[in-house]
Amino acid sequence: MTAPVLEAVDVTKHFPVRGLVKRGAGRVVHAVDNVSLKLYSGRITALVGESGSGKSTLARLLAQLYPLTSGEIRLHGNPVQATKGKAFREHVSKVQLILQDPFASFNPVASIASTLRRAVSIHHAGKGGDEQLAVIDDLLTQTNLAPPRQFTQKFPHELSGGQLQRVSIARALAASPEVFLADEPVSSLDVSIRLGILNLLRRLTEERDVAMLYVTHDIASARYFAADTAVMYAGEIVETGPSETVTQQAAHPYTQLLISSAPDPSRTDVKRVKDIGQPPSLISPPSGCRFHPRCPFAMARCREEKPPPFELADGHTARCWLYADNPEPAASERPDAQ
Amino acid sequence: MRTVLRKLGFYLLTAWVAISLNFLIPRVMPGDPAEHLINQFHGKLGPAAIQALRVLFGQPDASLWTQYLNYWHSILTGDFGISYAYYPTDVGTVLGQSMFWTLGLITACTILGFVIGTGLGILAGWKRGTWLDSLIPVTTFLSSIPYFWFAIIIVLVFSITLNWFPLSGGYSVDTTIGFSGDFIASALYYAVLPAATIVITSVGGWLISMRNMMVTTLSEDYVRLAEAKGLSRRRVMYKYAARNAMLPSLSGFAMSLGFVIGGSIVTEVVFNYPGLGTTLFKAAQAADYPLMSAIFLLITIMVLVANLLADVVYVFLDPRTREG
Amino acid sequence: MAMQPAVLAETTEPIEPEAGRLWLRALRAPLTLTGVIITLVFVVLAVIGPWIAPYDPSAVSDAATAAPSFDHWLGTTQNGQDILSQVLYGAQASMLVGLGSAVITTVLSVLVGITAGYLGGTSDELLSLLANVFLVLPGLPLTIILAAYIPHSGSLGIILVISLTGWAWGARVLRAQTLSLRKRDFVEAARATGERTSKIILRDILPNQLAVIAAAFLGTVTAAILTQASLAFLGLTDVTQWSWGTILYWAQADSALLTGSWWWFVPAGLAIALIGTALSLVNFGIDEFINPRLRQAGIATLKAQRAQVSRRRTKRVRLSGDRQPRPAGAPFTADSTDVVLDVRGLKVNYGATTAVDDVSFTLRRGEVLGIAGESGSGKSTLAYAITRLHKPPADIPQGEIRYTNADRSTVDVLAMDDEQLRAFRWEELSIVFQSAMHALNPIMRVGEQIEDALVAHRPGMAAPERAARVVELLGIVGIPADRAGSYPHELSGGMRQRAMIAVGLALDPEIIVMDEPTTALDVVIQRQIIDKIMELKDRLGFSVIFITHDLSLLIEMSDTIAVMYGGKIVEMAAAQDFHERPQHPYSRGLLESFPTLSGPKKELSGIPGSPPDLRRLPSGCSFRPRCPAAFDACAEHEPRLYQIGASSAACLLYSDDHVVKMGESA
Repeated sequence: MTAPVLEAVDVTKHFPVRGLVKRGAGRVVHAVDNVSLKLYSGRITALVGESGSGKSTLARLLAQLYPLTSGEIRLHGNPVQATKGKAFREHVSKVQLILQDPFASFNPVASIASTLRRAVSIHHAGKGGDEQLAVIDDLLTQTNLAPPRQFTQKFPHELSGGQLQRVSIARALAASPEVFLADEPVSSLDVSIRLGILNLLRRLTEERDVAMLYVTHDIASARYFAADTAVMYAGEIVETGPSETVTQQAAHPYTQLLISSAPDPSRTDVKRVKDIGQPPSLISPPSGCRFHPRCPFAMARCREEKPPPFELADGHTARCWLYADNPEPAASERPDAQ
Repeated sequence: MRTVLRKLGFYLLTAWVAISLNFLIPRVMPGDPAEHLINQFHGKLGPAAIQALRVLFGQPDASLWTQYLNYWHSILTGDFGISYAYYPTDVGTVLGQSMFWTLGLITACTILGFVIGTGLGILAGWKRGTWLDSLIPVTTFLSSIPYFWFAIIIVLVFSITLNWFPLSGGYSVDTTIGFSGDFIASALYYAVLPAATIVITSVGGWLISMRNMMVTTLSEDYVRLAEAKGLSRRRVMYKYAARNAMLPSLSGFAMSLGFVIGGSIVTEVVFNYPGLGTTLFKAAQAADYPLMSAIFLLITIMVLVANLLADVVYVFLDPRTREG
Repeated sequence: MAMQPAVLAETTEPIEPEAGRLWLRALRAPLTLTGVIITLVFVVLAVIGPWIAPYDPSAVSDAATAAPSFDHWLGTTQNGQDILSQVLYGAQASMLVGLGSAVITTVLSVLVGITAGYLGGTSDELLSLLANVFLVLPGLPLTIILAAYIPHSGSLGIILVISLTGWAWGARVLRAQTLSLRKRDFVEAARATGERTSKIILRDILPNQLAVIAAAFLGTVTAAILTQASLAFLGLTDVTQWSWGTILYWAQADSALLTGSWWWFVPAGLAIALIGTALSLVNFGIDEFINPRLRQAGIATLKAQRAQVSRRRTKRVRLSGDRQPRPAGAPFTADSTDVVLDVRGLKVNYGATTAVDDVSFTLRRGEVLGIAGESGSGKSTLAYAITRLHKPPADIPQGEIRYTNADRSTVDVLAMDDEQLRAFRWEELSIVFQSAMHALNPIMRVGEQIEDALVAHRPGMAAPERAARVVELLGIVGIPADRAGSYPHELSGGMRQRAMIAVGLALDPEIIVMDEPTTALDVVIQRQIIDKIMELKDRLGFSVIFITHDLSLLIEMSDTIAVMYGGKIVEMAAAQDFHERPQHPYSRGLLESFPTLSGPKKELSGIPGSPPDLRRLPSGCSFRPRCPAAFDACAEHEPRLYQIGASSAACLLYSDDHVVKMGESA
């Protein structure tokens, strides 16, 4: 495989807990902990996790919207540290973020034209008014909003969710980026129009040979839409691999739980992983493997040591002690052998 | 408990700001108020009194920091200087007499106004869309009236024209101040008109804010659920809608307290009520800075205490503030 | 600073998008319009006052203390000065102070509020602390002190003093607004596009706060005019400069009251009260504009109220007084005929829009009826209508909701009077809302909210019995008993939703309506809750109407599925049949939109276009514009539900009318 376009290397983000009395006592939310992720041109990578798993934070770190606590973001192999000023604008011209809720991501009192014009004038500096209009028309056409003039004069509330999400993609396209970070781009849309948006994103990825990060809570959509899938739990990536492998031969007990919980009428065998407990506190995350308090296969080792990623097959890794070469004697039972 | 302590800290800070402002204002304003004051007394002051005034209003020969320390010493020992308007009484004595009247009248009326206004607001919000909505323009008008002007009108109608109530003062001159039935009856009788003024003019504000909060709360899911549960209307109205709607109104209470008390004080002037307001008026007329700044401090402290009490009630009503 | 409890700002909801048109609508409200007109009149008077005044306001004449007459329309003062002229001249000074203070105050508030809100961090904490301190300091006494040190201050001095003491309120409100706007996606989107901070503040933050800024501005005008009047009345301003306050000062000083010269002080006071009222009325208009809920209350006119009242007077049906215990039901099977709820031809209107149109279905004992639909399909409206929880302007002009009592008699829920409805609710039918966070009263203990229903419906139950029942119910849904004393915010999302179900089970109802009960939850928690619901249903034997947009979930758990589109049921079938053989083209499209986890990857085709706007439904079949199988007749005929085997679908493909079907081949 070629070199990644955008890469997160051991990225950590801790948010300070805003204490009621004082910004307090060094307590932090471990939103993202030691996460590494690579995005390749022309390839869609899914980042799957539940709310609070840190998947959206990771996307924003890749966009440099927040400073990192530690680790590195690399664009074409070069570390970037640009959350402000010119360097930041340089970064966002290559890496664009698409947000979940199209209704919320537009200024309600600005017309579509004026919102797009702002993006165009940032990334196509020096173009005159008519040229800008031409660029806007082109962007809208590319996102299947034709005829463009029918949309530019409208205000956000006059468009449907699907149309707005297309405008949102058009706005991101204005920068001609090399990387798209799509944060749950279809979650707030109606089921019947999701596919259209996902297909549009896929087409753009292929035609423009850009890298796409698809952040989602819906692991089934990752199977269909993304070539690779990474699963996040409590701020850490617990499993990565080709989407088909991750969804069909899930290795990490958490991924298995996620898959068996997802509604799926096509499923014939009802094999349920028993869930015990609740998502952990991110202020004081569990020691060792963060999933151990809920894990049916937890061993003594899981409580003490954080598992490294174990390579299972080509590109398929899981951070779980079950896959250690020297499993503890107690770990006689592998989850996929039940 | 933590919340209350935090609030207490905040109010202490505010008190410190108020006292420091009181120290700073005469010193940054143009002219020399201390000199001006001393001249006003036409040499009637002894050296000790002059020194006291200088500590409070500016010592040209001392550094600002020394002045500040001296000032605090005076405040803590309760030495607010000598009143010019009530010469030769010292400020502390003047305030001791008038404070009682204001505290009694304004506390009672503010609470009464809040209770009546909030009660009517609950009703108006609950029965929105009925004739009760027509109360809004009326109460808006009432609350837009300057307090003192309403007082004048009330005096004109009830004292001068109808002669039902006394024109001015806090009690009949025939009685002597004390815990006698006569005196209390007379004080209550004299308080009717000032009290009515304050209550009527303050009710409107509470009513409108409570009505709007009720309307907002009534469309909350939990009110809908309460209805779906088949609870009695009374229970839905009080336990679910009104109790929740009252929370913002209560913190609004704390905030507008300063405004209400300010308005009430001017009202006293019209009735020549023997409270802080009338005293402040006389002090302002006579440019009696010692008295004015002491009154400002006193009112500030009263407002802060009232705020703290409102916060305690709030914490009692809203469990979400109790943690942490 | 997070110290002050939530006030105004936190309750004002972000501005709705329909900005331009709403302004006009606000103006159309008679009260707001009155306010605007009165304000304009005063502004004009303030400008031209000195020119149209008949006399010099200070000029002394012989007509001392004269009542209003032809020469002096508003009478004269003790010195024979013309009061009308004084009021006209005074308008200028008073309005000047009002507007001037408002301008300076607003500028200060905007600067402090937006800086603090946008920057956050330490600068925010310091600025908000300062604002809060100024907010608590009693304004008028402080103003008096300040004014007293500037003896006989003119308008400028007063303006400065008022602005200095008055900026805090607006700053606080604007800060809270900025904070919430800063967290909004569109600000983040602008940042992610690479926009500069200054431009974000100017183009994204400020324009969305105009209404709040306007409200703060008008509020300050009123407050400043009042303050100026108070100061003038106390003699703390330059008493030779005419303003409404100084007129009152002279009236008081010259004992106008004792001489009964009412004309001396009435006009100035009235002027102040009028302008104050007018500005408040305008502000209410703005309030309603900012807070959509208030607007609704404003619009929910007498008409809608009357509609509700008149319904109450319709035929009375006696509800069985004592609740009869039902015999334990057998598990639900597809051929069960034990109907508990029969909805016929139900229609729900929102004003002129029909949100639910001619919906009929039956619910049998122990059945799980899944209602699927996208946004705007009318599914939630249907849920509220069944429970009669719809609020004006929603209204049910047609239909019947027949409930079968334990003694086999039936009642129409829509015909019940208030008391019958109250007794029916929860006892027979309970509802679980989408967001337990919003549906549970935040300031009541969870246990109390369960007990509440027991108190209302089981008057004979003693307190210890109720407490035992609460513990039992919490146990049923898997919540530890000691959580009965917790407040909703102390529970996790999943636990709150389970508490919500416990509330729904309190009276052992026959039917539970669940409106997207798991949509806000993560899949793992959703699975826990769904498993719990199914387990309870089997154990307790209630029926469920389960409403969601998640078709996969619905197929898994329902016995029967009804698909809604454009306010109508377009397909109804047994869940398994539906999954295997969807009939309506919309159902087929939906099923081909869902990615699956198990089995081989199938081709997903989706549905072109978007769900329709209920206000502008296409003619004929409302799915026609998106339908791959549409033919000419679809534009003309509104399909009814046609029977296809055990299923039914509202699609002309299944019409037996040959005239209609002719078009299919074309």
